[in-house]
Amino acid sequence: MLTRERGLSAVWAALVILTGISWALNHAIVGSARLVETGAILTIALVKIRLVGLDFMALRNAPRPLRLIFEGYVIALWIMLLALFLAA
Amino acid sequence: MQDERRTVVERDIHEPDPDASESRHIPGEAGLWILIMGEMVIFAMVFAVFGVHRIGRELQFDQASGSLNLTLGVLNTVILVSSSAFVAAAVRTLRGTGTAPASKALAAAIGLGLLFCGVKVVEYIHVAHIPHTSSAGDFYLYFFILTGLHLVHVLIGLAVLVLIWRRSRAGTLGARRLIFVEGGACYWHMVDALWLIIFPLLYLVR
Repeated sequence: MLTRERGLSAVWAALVILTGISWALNHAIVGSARLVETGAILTIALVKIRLVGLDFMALRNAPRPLRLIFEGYVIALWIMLLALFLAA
Repeated sequence: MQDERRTVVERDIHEPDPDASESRHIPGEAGLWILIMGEMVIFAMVFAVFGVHRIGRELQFDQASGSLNLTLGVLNTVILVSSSAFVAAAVRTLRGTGTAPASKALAAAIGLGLLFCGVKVVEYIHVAHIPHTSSAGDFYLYFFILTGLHLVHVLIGLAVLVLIWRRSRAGTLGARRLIFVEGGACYWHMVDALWLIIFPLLYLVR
């Protein structure tokens, strides 16, 4: 099978680094910047899910409809969480 | 004629076209994806209920969230992401596009999955001893619902991984079984992906 696959070590490192950034953002949450940091934390979470889907689940090489359903789920979840947690 | 065929083969090897329909492939059984996407939608609905319930109780929820052990949450995130990476490496080897020893990678993934469960038990003991008010109690209720539901999926995923690992050690994972391996692996990655949302919602968001 001929596929384009990203290095798993690079994906793993990106996921760990993004987790570290979220952790640091949590500690930095103060005052009026709270909304920005909450938005950033939720956005990072959805970027991580997309990485898991495309590179670990190998959806990058899946038929387009399946990949679009997954990407649509990620975008819909991102919008829903931003609306719920930033509106609060 | 032979030269022409060789040229086509070389072009296919060196310049794979990911948009070509023949190079695209559903990981696992197509039907499994109905289960995986269904599970992910159900969890999204639980996230929505949590988010709606939090509105108007932000202060209590944030205080309760602050009482969780963030270090254990981060640790479990790294553990699960690493486990998922080992599973992906094993699948690539069984598919013929990776080099990591599949059974060792699967064993590492299972070990990390068990470690995740162990850390979760330690955390449950910690949370059970936190004194709290009734509003904060709602947060802890969601904490146990979300992480408990997730833990059930971790255990199911681990059972599937053990089955795949045993077959890989027995050498009975041929190309025909690859679809089963890919399906089990995708289920495990779903478990990982769900945790990547549960973690910020419970531990990080303020």
